[in-house]
Amino acid sequence: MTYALQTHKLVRTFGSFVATDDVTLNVEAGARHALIGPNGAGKTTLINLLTGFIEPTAGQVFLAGDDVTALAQHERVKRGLARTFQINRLFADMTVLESVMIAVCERRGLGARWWNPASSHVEALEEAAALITRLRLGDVANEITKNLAYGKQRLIEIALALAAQPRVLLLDEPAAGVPTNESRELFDTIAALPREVTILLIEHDMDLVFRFADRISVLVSGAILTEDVPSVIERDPRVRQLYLGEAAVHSRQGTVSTSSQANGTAAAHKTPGSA
Amino acid sequence: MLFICFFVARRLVLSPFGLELRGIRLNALRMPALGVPSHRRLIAVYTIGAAYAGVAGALLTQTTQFVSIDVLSFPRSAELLLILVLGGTGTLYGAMLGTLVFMAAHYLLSDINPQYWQFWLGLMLLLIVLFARQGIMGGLVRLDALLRSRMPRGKSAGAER
Repeated sequence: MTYALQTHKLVRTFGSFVATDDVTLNVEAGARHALIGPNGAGKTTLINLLTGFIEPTAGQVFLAGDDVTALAQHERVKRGLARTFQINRLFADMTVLESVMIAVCERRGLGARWWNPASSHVEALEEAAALITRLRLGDVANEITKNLAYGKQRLIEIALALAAQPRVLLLDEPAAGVPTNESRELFDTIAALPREVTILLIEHDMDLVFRFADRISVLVSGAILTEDVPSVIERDPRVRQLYLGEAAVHSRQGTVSTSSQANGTAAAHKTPGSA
Repeated sequence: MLFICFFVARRLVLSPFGLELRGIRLNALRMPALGVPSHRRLIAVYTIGAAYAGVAGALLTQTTQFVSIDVLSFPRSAELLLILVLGGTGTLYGAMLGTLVFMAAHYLLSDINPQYWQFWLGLMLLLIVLFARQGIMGGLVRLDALLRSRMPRGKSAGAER
């Protein structure tokens, strides 16, 4: 069968440090796949490889069966692969509506139109407005991004990714730094996404992961330790060991893919054994 | 000619293309993740910019009726940049305002202080960079916002009396 997203023997090294070590990952279409692992395990690096943000040292990435390893980031987005960022990458001085309009216009192939005002492309405008309402950002649509609360900004992060109408959505710790009550709301929004959208999720909050995912891969030191359904992963002694005993060692080891700030926000979370 | 160029530039800024350009300026790393071929967009806008410069050059030769190697000199480029910083980068009206202020300052200052007029210009630039990063245009926008926020308060204070 063809998988929505596959990697084949993916390797990425930074100097002598192996950030991604021979990762072969298969994500089924429509799956809610979670990627967990201690800090510095190379989760974000893997996402960066999948989206083309960085190039792999070796190996391939397949999207719906097609080899996309050589394609640039924006070309992969055109093929239905979108992502959110662990640390917000938004347009600080733009309104929410303007930000989402960029993504919607681009997907509709209006990105190079330079004569008619953006607001005259009514269908794009309506689509952007609908998306904003869906993510419960309706009341702040015309606010400047940088003036909004952090939780709202995380939602914009997701809105921008969804505007590309992806078939595969990569969420890099969508709830990082968001207060618990707001993160529930955020995950309700994510869970409400249609099943056509395949989701690969990185998350530190184990409660959320086990509630949300139907399949979990555990990444340690860049390599896949194990992959299975949540009930099996939960009972796996190696995973327990990892999260209760050894995690502290790993979090000190790796600073390549996870910045110190990310470590900080993750630690502030309910993170079993990360500190 | 200025009007035509300005009109075209204004249409461009408000279009989806202009929106993407603003996006690239605000967060260049995010744009490819939205599917935008940033590189292509930048090439396009630099080409348009070059065309504008071409029009400006043609107009210059028309008015001065004389072209020497001097028009390629560094001070000319620096002057243009100075005008933009004065007026406010990233705004259309800022560029026009900057030109007016620069030309006025040029004449006034060289009248008052023929030898060191450039010093005063430098001081102006320094003040702008230090206190009004957005240039004159940004300053006006902030002033407008300040006045608007004061207005209702002023009224209510009057009512109390």
